[in-house]
Formats: sequence, structure tokens, C-alpha cells
Amino acid sequence: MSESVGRGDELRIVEVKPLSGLRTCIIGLPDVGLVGLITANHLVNSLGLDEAGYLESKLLPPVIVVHNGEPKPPVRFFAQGGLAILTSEIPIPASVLSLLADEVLNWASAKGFELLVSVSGIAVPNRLEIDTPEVYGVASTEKARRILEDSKIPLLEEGFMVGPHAAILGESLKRKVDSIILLAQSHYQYPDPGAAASIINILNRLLSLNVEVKTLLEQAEEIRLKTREIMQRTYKAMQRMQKMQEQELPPMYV
Amino acid sequence: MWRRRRIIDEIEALEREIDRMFEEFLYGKPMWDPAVGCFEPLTHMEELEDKIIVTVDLPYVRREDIILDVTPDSLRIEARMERPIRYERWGTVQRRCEFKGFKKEVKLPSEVVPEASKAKFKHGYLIVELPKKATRHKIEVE
Repeated sequence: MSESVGRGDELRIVEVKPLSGLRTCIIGLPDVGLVGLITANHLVNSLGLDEAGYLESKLLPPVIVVHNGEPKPPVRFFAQGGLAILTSEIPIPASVLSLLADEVLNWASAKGFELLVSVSGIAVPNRLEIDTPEVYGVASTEKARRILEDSKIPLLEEGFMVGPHAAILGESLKRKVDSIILLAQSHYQYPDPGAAASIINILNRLLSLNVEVKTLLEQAEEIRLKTREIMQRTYKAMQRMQKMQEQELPPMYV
Repeated sequence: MWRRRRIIDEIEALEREIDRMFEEFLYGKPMWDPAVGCFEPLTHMEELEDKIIVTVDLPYVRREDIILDVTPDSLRIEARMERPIRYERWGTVQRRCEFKGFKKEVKLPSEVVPEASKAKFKHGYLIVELPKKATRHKIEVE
């Protein structure tokens, strides 16, 4: 077992298998409409990524998840070839987000990732009227912005971002790391597999993946049923991190 | 009379806040009840000036299988799923469980007019609009 170059006691990424040649890291954590979580789950299952490590921290709630009789930490990452995916089965507390972003960026630098892609939702009040949610992008550098433009992903022009992806983007800005956020129009407090499907279609274009979304959409009702409790917990966590600020307009005219 | 009404209003507001805090405290409770075979649905309530809008996520439910019961201060939702959902080893109880539908009672923050309430069901989401009982009226400025 090897460990990352993290800051040690507070929070660290632990690798459970040797990893090399990683180029892109997708980060899909519980947030608006669970879009990040649902996207990450579908990608891991469709691409058959192997479990490659986990996040260890005394600052996270004392939770262990059990899958097929095997206990696992709730925040894990999966990898294969040049792709890694970081996801979580619990909402990340607001107090841990900056440490998490710091450690993800340390790890990304040590592993030589070329691009970080955070995926999430952006709540729209008329979601029920939208058949195919739009996806908007935000980039940390000129190079990352060109990647969005080349893939014809519209930019989020104005607004606030709050949550895990905002923390990752903030740290990426500070370190001038190429980082992208993809935000799909989504329900705020209901799991939204349709929004996750829109993100996956964009990722197919952006990263030359070939992941189908038909099964994801067919399983939409099952996903909505199974993720009610984590959605409820995530909703509470979002309230604590003042997520509703995303619905406001920034006050400065720049 | 007016003062007494205001005190009662304030006591009721305090009661609602205590209920809300109590629910928050009980938040860890499971969103399912194997004894009656029901899930608790995800629900969201929005209070506007003239009405309260409650939305409910109801996967596996058809419009005709939803029963709504409105009183001036509560909304009860019961919905049967199109087929029972069975789990061989459900969660912490680790035994076979079967769920047939959803059940939830929502306490409303203001008095509403049950007879004037409306509901629609779209893509598996229930939207209930409950007009508030008019307690305000506009006055002209001279």
C-alpha cells in the first residue's frame, strides 16, 4: 500500500494499488441533485474502473460502508488507464472541503494529472419543464477554458459557486492547475439522473469516452428511490454551507 | 382582542419552530418503515405570500395511485408504487423487506384553504399548491 504526499494527520489520500500514467481525474461528490455522485457511479460501473484508494481523515464522520460483506471507507477513488474518479457515499462536511481540495491538488500534482474535472448540478427552478438539461462549464486557466470552448461547452457567465467543486476550483486557481467544472441544470433537493446523463454526454465529447446513458435513464426511478437518504443528508449539508447563495447574483460589476 | 390574537400567533410560530427543531433532531430516523411497507418520500415545501407549494418525489408511482388529504394545517400524502419493491437483506435489519408505497404527513406553516388546493403530477413529481387562508388585505394610501 502506498500513500500520497498529503499533510498527514488531518486528511490524506491512501492508494491501495500502484498507480501510474494517470491523466484525468473526475471528481463527483454529493451535491445539488446528487449529480456528481450519480455521474461518478455510472462511469465507474460502465468503464469497469478498479477501486484504487480512499480518503482518510479524522475530520470525516465515523462512517464505514459495507458492500457485499466488505467494509469500506465512504470516500474512495477508482482508476484505470489514464482516468481516476473520486466519489463519496456521504456528503462532505463544509469544514473539511478546503482540506479536501488541498489534498486532491497535492495528490494530482504528485501523480501528474493533466486535467481535473469536477461534475455537479446547478439548480434551476423550472427543472420539470426541461427534457434535456444543459451543461455549463467553468475553467481555472486559459488552457482549461480553451478545452471547454473546443468542446463547445457554454461557459457559466455569472453566478456564485458553493461546495466541493468550488473548493477544488479555488485551489486550482491558486496553483494555476488546469481544472474544469461541469454543471448540469438540475433539481436542487431531488436526485437527478437526467442531469447526470447530460454530464456524461459532455464527458464523452470532452474526454473521448464512450459511455452510454440509456441504462442510466432506464434506472432513473430506481436511483431516485435508492438515493433518497443520501439526498436528504446532502440537502442538510448544503443548507449548512449556504448553498442557496448559488441562486443569487454576484454584486460586483466587473 | 388584536393583542391576544398576536400573542396566539407568536405562540403558534414558536410551536412550529419547536416542531421543526424536533424534526431536525430526529433527522437521523430512517426514511422507511418495514412494519407498514412504506417509504418516506423526499419532500420540499416553499412558502410564498399567498400560497404554500409542496413538491414530492414519487418514483414508481402513477397519478391514479396517489391519495392526498388536506386539512387547514396539514397535507397527508399516500401513494402506491406500481409494483412492490423487495429487498432480500434490507439495511440494518438485514432481513427481507417489501415496500408497497410512500407515506408522509407534512405540517403546514400557515393555514390553507383545503377546498381551493390543486395538485399535478409530472415525470414522477407531485406538485401541490395550497392557497393560504386570507388574513391580510390591501389598503389604499390616501
